[in-house]
Amino acid sequence: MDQKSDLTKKHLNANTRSSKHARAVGDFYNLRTNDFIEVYGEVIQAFRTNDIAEWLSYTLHSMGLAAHMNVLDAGCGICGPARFYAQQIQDLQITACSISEVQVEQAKELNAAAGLTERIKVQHLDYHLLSTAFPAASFDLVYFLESFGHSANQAQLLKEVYEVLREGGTLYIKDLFKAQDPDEWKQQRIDELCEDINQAYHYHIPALEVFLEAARKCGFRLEWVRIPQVNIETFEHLKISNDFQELFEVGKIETWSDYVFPIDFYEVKLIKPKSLSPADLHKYFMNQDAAV
Amino acid sequence: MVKALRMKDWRFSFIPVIFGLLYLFIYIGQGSSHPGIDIVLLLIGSLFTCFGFASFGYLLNEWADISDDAKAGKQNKLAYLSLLQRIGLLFLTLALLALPWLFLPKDTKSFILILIEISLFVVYSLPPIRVKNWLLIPNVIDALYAYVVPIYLAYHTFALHYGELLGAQQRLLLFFLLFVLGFRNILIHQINDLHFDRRSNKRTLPDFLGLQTSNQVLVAFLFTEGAVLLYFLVKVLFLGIWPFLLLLILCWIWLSRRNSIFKKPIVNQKIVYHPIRHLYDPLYQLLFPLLLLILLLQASLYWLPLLLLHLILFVPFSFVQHLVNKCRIYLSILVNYAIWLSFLMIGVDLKKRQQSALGFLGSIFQRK
Repeated sequence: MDQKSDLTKKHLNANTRSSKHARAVGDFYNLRTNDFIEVYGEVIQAFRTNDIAEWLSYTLHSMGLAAHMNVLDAGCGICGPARFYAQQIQDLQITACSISEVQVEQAKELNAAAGLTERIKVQHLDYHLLSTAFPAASFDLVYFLESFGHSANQAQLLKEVYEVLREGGTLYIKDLFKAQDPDEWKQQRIDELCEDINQAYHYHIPALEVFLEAARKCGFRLEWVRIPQVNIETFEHLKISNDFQELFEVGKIETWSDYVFPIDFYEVKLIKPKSLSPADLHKYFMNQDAAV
Repeated sequence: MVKALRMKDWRFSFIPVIFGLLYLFIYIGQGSSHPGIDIVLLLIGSLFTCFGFASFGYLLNEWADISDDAKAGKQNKLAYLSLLQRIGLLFLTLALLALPWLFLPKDTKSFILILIEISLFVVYSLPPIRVKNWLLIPNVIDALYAYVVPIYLAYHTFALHYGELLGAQQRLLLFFLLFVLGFRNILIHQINDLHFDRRSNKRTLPDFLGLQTSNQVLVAFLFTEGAVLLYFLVKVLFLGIWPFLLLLILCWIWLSRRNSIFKKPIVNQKIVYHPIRHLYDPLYQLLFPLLLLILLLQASLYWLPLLLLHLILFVPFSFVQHLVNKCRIYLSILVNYAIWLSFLMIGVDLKKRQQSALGFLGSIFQRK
């Protein structure tokens, strides 16, 4: 067993709420990964367009992946997106981690079959342990594709990411966030539905404002937050979600007439600011990159 | 056409509650004697008139709601039927409601109660009064016509047959409990339909009260109902037969767990959409009638057909299936352990050998 696996074990054995939850997420994916694959294929994401290659290509550009980057796929699933990115961009080095042993094994097999073993290093790791597992400032970019919400301690997770990102590095998150409604009854339904989703998928759907506050407190600078810029015509038919809802018995959409959509999908891009020398401090203004 | 009667809405909800109480009246009135033809006729008559009242009430309501439902984008099954079909259904339900009274025990009070029930349906649904669109009054009327009046009519009918079955105080307690149950259920129904009602410009009680107050009202009703229910079960019904009360409570806890009542956290400290709002419903709709049938069976096995009929008519098939599967699992555990222990007594540990009993016996005969 390697040192990093030991670290994960140690952390998982620690009697903290966060690590218990992480173990539960691991067990959940160990048990359910094949069900996910059956419904979603190799890209385990609820928000997607009909043409999955087109969707991944969109995220590739959206997060700003480029050649020679060293990136971290946090909560990599079976590395469907990582393989796509590695195939699209030469010299891209990806480190991928998952808390599920089953996913790690399957990802390794699929990466080997695609000849990408050297370019995608997969690890069994609780992503709350990033700063223990990797040296500080290791990555140019860290991305979470519908995996950030699995964290039961999101403020801590952001700190961990901040540690392992180099200065000027990017954190990209595409995830579901709790919807907001001015009507108190609808908001209550939203909160209940989110709770159902959280329970069924071992999730902690973040509220966008809480997430942004935590990220900014951590030191991140918000570049943008937006709805994924995809053509609505190419949006994945909800049947795929319904197939999954059926599997987990969570709010299947029977009719649109009384349906309250409990979540909003957003992609968020955050930057770890560069340190300014005392001489450059006067240059600090809204966009630091432009100032330096 | 039958779908327009919305049988699914009442067959497993308030009709089993009524029948549970009918079984209670029989249990008190009949004692340990076998059921005679009189009681069979009483039950058949009650069944038909109950179905008649429920279908008639739903039909009237559905008919009067057609335009509102269209505005709210809500499905109305009666809207698909022609006028002739609707009138035909109305007469059919009226006949179903009225004909059993040709042979059911009755007096002037019975007719007054029937008239009150029908008047409540009319006042609730039909213009010009149509209290359905008022505040608070529809909740009271709904609780009255769904539970209090029909069960009072049922009690009166059975009392005409057996004589007085409950004391005045007990009756008061029972009808208060039924009123609270009815009020809670219509409040939940209005909460579920809130957005539909808003679309048709209808303001119901929860909308008027707001989320916070509606939640407080629901909590208060649940507590009141719980206290009265407990008192009724312990003091009135099961004082001398506490093992049955224990069985009832255990089954209730099991069912509540199965319905995720205790599993799902209460979000924002509000129970308006939480399964706990239906906390007592499995007790009224499922367990109480079944337990009463078991008590009747204990007195006489002739009640067995009634138990089977009840299971067919008033218990969802999925639940029966689940129950059968559970019984099979426990029975199989019991049988397997019995076999394992029997072999252990002759010094053979089938678990250690990882062999079945048949496999073990086969291997002995082969050796011989």
